[in-house]
Amino acid sequence: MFFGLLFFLGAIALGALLAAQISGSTSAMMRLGYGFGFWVLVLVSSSFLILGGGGFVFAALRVGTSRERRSALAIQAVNLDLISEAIVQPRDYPFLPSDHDLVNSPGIKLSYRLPTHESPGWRLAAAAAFCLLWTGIAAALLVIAINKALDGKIDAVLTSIVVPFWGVAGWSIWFLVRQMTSLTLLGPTIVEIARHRLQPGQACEVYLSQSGHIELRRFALRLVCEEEATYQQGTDIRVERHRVVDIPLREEARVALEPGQPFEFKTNCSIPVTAMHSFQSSHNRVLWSLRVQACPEGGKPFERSFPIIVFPSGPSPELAATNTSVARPRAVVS
Amino acid sequence: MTPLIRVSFVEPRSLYWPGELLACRYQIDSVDRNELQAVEASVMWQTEGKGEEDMAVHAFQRRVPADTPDGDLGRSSQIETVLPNSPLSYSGVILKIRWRVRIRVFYSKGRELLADLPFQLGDVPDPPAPESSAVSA
Repeated sequence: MFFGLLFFLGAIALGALLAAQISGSTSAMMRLGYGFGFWVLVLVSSSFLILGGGGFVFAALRVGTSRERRSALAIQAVNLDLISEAIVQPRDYPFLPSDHDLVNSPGIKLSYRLPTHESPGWRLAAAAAFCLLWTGIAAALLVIAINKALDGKIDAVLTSIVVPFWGVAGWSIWFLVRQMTSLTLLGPTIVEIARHRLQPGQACEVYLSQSGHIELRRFALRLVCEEEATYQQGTDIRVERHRVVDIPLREEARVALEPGQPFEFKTNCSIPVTAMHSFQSSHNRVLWSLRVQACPEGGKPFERSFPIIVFPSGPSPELAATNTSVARPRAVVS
Repeated sequence: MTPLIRVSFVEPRSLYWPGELLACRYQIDSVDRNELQAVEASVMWQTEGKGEEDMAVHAFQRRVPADTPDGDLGRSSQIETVLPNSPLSYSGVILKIRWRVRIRVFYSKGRELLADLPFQLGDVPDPPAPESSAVSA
């Protein structure tokens, strides 16, 4: 309806405009010549025409086409060789997260080095950029305010702006220093696993190395599984997470990190036999990860997350015995 | 007249495993065969729970009168597919994954009717009761 109306308006406007130009209308409203205004009107009415027409055709195509048929067509398109090569996901396991980052990064102590979920470097860069920008603006305002004061003209409005600006600048400097301190005192965390394609009920060896120059009150490595749901609430997009598995793999009460002497250990990690495998769709996920949690002496606790992928258990024992091959989504449209 | 959709598994059970062949028979009754415009059969999964709904079709079949020798879409027909490795059925706390066979009938005057036949893929048990949830914007 909306697109039809848009198309109709665009067609009428463009038609009237062209007709007026061709017929040489004497109306003041229509006397535009072929100047800038004429082409702007042509552009606007043409965009109405194209958007309305496109939307109308798209809506018409959707009428009488079920959600399942559209989904089947989309999956068929994804299965085309060119597209499926571009989409990284374990090919025999639809809707599992990509294991590309995992398999292309060999470890030193064990087979696979886990990529971290978030890079502290980005947070530091963002904090530095914000701090520089804000402090620069605050400094410029301060210089202007001082110059005015020296001239004997105290600007009350400017002064009232400078004070909160410097408040925020002070906070951004403090935050940046804290980020730099935590990044330099607490060095990189390396987590490696011995085995990929872990399934529920299976175990593997985990190696952890934490370097830095700080005293930790508490240090823990945990195996965590979370359900994650993304939904829209009003104009906000919200993400809700619920932890369904939380298994401590190692907990230490006091750890002193010294330069050149990382705190390292190996431990075993077992995926519960009753657990759900990793899953990823547009708005819902099941995420498995190894979480490193540490509480520095006198500092704020931090957590680093290293995602792992848990594959579904194999087919039933009877099927495994007959070595039946398993299927990728086919979505055959006939 | 509203059509009646009969749908059943060829093997009467509701638990299936990845790699197994799922066969489902369906039939449309109580309707004039000339009124049936198309019948779609899908083997699909859908999410339920707190997040926006996601779905994907694993196998899909659409029949129109021209696809049958006598143009009768109401006759018993069958959809079969080898089930995929993932995602398995799951009844989580804020996320559920449900597998089903869906028959959708398009009949006179653009009306549609659908029937779902749920089944379970794999046997992932329910997770423990809720402890804590975190929401972020």
